[in-house]
Amino acid sequence: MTAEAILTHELDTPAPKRTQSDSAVLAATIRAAQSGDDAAFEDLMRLSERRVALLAWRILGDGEETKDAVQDVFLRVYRHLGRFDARHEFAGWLFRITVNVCRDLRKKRRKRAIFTPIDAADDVADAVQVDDDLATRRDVVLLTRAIDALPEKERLAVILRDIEELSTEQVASILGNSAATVRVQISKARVKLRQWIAEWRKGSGS
Amino acid sequence: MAKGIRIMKCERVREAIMLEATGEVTGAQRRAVAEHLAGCASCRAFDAVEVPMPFTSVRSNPPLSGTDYAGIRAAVMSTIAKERRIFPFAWRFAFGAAAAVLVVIIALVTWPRPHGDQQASRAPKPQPAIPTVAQAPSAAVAPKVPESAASEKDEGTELIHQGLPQQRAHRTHERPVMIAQARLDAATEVRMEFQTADPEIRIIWLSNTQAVSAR
Repeated sequence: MTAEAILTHELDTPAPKRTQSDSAVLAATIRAAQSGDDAAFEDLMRLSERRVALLAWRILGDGEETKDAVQDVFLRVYRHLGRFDARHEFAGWLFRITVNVCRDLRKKRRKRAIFTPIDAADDVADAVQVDDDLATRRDVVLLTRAIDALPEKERLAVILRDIEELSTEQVASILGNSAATVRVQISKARVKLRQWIAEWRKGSGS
Repeated sequence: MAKGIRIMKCERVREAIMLEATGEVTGAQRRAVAEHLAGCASCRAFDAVEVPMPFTSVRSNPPLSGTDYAGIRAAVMSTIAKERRIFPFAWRFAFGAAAAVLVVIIALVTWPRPHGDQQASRAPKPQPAIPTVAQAPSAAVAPKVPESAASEKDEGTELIHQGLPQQRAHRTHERPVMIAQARLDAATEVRMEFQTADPEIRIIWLSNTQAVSAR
């Protein structure tokens, strides 16, 4: 396993299935960074920057904002790394920081439209990677816009649960809510998404 | 009312349908949903809408290149280096600031404040008599002690030093002067009096020490 995949592996693999060496490499890098080793901190950034960028991009949906977010996240990580408790998951801690940084950025720059008609959103389509599992390119654009139009709490819950595919418990821990609250937020958000998609399909005749 | 209950039920059912996609409903909930769908065309239509889940294809690739990541790392390390250059000396700044605040407070307390009437007339006024007495804390009235009693002992009270406040008090721009110091109660309590240049301000300092056994 490459070093870069370790962090992704930590999030996507249940703790009992992780190999001892994966966790040991990450733990050793974190320990070295905590003791003030700059090279180790840079390694930690290399390990986690793409994961952080992906989450920030999904929350913010803007390339420049994503760059700012990644930079802010690692500055916060550096400043608070001494307080990180190695008994907890580093990825969860990192995601919590990322979500907080993105929330702050969104508060500062409330520029995104609440709702953009799907036809006007075609320019966004270039930034959206289309997967074979999705029926059409427009479906992805529609879904992206619909998720962006959700209320903030529901949006974050859906991004973490349905896009990042974290468990409800992990999402609850990152957002500082109970699992029951997250479950309600996710179910409400999914209902809205399905209704919007149904309405749009009905309207477009497809 | 019945319609309200039905709408409420539809909402709950639809939420359950959406949670089913990630296996987060119980067997009982699943059965209740199936029963509801059998009699509700609207929810059946809702259930029929295909939504690809999970939504992992949404923004699956951030528009950042390797150069962007390198730039971010360089910017972060540069900011960290700047912070490190400043913060090693932060405690010194903090100590200096605390010392400066302390000096200002002492100066404000002890600096002579000219009275309005003194400024107006500039005429020397007789200084009020300042009792230069070491007194036990329980003493209700301070007995006047003559200057010659500087080294006298009086029932557990030892007068160590007694100055001449009347001579010093009229001076301005002067540090507080210790006018009396005494040990009280078998040398465990000490009382000191300081006269500031302002005759109306006197600093009285009491300390009490307690013997601690070796054990």
